[in-house]
Amino acid sequence: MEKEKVEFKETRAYPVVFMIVITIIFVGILAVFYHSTKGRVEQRERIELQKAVLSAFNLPIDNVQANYEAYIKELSFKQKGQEEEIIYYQATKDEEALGNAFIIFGKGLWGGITALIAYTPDYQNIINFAIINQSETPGLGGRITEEWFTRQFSDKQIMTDNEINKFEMVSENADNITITQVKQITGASLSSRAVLDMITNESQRIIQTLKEAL
Amino acid sequence: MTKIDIFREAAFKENSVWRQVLGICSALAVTNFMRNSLIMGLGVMFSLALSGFTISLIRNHTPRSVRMMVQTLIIASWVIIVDLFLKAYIPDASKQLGPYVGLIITNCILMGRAEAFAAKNTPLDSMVDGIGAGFGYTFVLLIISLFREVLGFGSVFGFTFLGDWWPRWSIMAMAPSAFFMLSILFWYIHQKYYIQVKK
Repeated sequence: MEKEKVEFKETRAYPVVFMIVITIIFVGILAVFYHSTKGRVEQRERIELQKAVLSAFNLPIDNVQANYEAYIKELSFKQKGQEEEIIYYQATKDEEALGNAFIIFGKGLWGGITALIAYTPDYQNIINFAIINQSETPGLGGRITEEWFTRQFSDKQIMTDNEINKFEMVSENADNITITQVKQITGASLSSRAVLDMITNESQRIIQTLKEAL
Repeated sequence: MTKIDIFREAAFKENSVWRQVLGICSALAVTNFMRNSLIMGLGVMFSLALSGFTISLIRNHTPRSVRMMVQTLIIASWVIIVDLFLKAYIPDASKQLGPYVGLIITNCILMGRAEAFAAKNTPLDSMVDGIGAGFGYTFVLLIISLFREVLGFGSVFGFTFLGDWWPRWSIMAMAPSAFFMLSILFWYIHQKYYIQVKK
């Protein structure tokens, strides 16, 4: 008796083979596209960071690359008993130290917040503060990137008698605020609080780590 | 059916949001700003058109038992390409949308159109259907975000035109207002175009 010929498409192996082939093709396309855009994405992120560092020290950002090379030095130190190095950015102009900037991390309402904070060389005051990445509610918590909000932290005294200062949040419409008060965003008190906590907690960590490392 | 009929059917008559109640999660999430809605809508339209075309292209060779896995793989690949493209060439838009772009993968409209149309029709028709469904989705997002942005921020596409006299309604920027606006839109469209008034 002649055995009935079964087409490959009808076999049990066909779906498996088909799935493997289609996966290889699409993963290949994705890999090619990822590698073709990788350089551009990394370059853009690098320039954005350099711009943020220059802005943190009130340095000109008209020619980012040249100004960054002229004024900023990338340095690092190790935490005691830890392998990981902490990278920071030191700014000098006309041989005068302007201060040091650090990348800090915090927990927002929906996800992580990454920011850049610059301190005076004695770590007593914040020079500037800027948000690099956040995923708060657009239009509400997302307003933490607005200049009026981040500028509030400029020139704020962060340390008094070797202790991190405590700040108090007040209404966005408050007229006269003291040096220990910060205006919160209307309708986004949790995101505003998250930024304030990030600044105080991370400043505490950085200054403590520096003391131990140096 | 002509290409125009396919487009009209997908965009309006059988609109994925108000007729099939698909893609609701993102319609609620990104509609507090018109700019976000437009970018999200274009992302969905692009992914729908290309995934529809690709799924249709291989429909005669795709085994039924693994067809949904294949569709998910194709949709996810196109969405990742959109995400990478935005990161590389429109970084501002990518920053604004953040995690929402990844959510296109889980947008029910993509699987819905893949199963309902692309798996049974020609690649070109499927592409037109994808563009139509994406257009209809963008249209809904823009209508909702128009009301939310104007009432919540006094602006349109980020350009403020209502002065300080307008009390910004914070609730319009938050999720609850999206539920209200979507329900009002559903009610209005169904009353006007779908429900036959009995005399």
